Amino acid sequence: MPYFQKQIKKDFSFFQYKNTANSFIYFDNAATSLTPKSVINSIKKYYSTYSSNIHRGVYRSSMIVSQMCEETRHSVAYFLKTQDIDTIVFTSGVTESINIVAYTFILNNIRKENEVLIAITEHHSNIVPWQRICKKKKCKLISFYLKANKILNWKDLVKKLSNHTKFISVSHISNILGINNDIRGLIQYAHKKGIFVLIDGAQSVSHASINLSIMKPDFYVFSSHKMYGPTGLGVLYINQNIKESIANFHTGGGAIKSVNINETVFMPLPQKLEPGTPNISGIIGLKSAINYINTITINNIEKIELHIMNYAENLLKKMENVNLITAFRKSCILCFTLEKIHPHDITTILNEYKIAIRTGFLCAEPLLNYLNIHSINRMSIVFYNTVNEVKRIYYILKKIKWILRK
Amino acid sequence: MTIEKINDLYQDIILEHNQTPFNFYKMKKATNYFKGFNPFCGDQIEIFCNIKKHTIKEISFWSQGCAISKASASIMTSLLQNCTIPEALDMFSLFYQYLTINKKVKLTYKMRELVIFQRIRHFPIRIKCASLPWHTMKSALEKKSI
Repeated sequence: MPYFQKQIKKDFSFFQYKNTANSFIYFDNAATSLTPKSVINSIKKYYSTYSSNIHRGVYRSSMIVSQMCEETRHSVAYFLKTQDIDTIVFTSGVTESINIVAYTFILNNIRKENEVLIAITEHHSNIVPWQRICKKKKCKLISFYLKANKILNWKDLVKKLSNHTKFISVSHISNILGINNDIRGLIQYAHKKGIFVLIDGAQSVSHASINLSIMKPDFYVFSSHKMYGPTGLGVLYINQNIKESIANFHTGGGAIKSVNINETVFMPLPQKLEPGTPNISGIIGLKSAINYINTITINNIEKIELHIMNYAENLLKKMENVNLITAFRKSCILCFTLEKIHPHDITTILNEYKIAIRTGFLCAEPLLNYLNIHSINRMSIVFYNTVNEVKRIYYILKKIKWILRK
Repeated sequence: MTIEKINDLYQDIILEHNQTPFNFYKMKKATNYFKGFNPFCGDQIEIFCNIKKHTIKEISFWSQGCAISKASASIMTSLLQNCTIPEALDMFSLFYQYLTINKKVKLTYKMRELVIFQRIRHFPIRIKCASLPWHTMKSALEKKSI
């Protein structure tokens, strides 16, 4: 495995610059993952060789680029194991995807006194749009909580479901707890009751095998930059069963069949939700990112990450003053605090030792309030991290105690 | 080199203030109060003031902040006891300039203890930690009553 990982590091130019980044240890992959050279090269190739707009030109480069973008749609569908290619929509990221669902579907399908259910673990991007929709429609936004071992409490969910519940929005893997939730069971249960479900796959798409044809959610969203792709691009998957009920979000060119001065006929999905010139280089880069993941394979990624996560967890447990936030069924996220030392001081010192981790409330303030924690540190591990890097952070964390005279 | 840079930031005085801060309590009968918030790291700080005849008779704070913000609040509250409101606001703007704008800004003799935050310029992301208590104090003085 060490040899394999040494080879993997060569795929990322981040590790090869000879100035600052050369020995930097990157443990903030849940915020954004590093970009492999193959992805950078594909983006570079677009700008240097083709650089045309899509679906507009009847010349060679435009046709090639249009085809490349549609190939990405096929790659995404194949990657998510679904045959619904025409309901894979390119967006700017998870935040926009969730807003699109909120304003093109939920807004038109809920009425006064309906309820929207979310988990307490949600990222702000999966809370705030629902707050706004609920205020607008005078609906209730209800959250369900966790068991003692910090797994989502399905009994609490069932208790909070009522005839008024219209929609559930849950993350597949929480960006703080890192627990892989049993989404399939939730979706089946909700569908029996006629409730629509959105799954936020931001943290799961590059770490776990996703099979939408088995999961069958109504909506599945993820961002490209958390799966080794470029920033500014995301994907919204919409289930075939509800595609006719999706209204327009932004409108403009590219999303229309015909326009006269008073009336517009819109294209079907996915173009309906993709007006204007899309993030073409991003879409092309996403295809390379998916190819990159497929070359290593999700199975290998899961194995390597599990190995490093277990090692990191066992090592951190040895420290006297460390509190691990979760200790069960973790995916690739390890959150911790050190007693009497503020997380922000920890990250500042780690930064001086060229280690990048994340600190703060990680865009999940309701969860931290619920856990009665004020601020945390997060290490998010992926396959290019190594056991030696974990040893290094452990060594520095021990040193911090001494530096801050605790 | 690394350890020297870290020690520059986390000087002994800062660490001592962090461990045993001055005026670290929730005042019961405050005339002015404000809760400051740093959305970047989630730190919250509460400033309590007792003001009589435009003079700060008593000032205290309560926070769960980092070493830098706690030390800054501790020194600030000890400096501002018995200051008039205009004096406090002047100190705020001078210290803020000292942290952010100009290397040539010199602190007054009364504010000399704040020189320990000089090195924070090398850690731009932490400037807000040191200035949060001061911004919160300013908001509290602007008559944000409890």
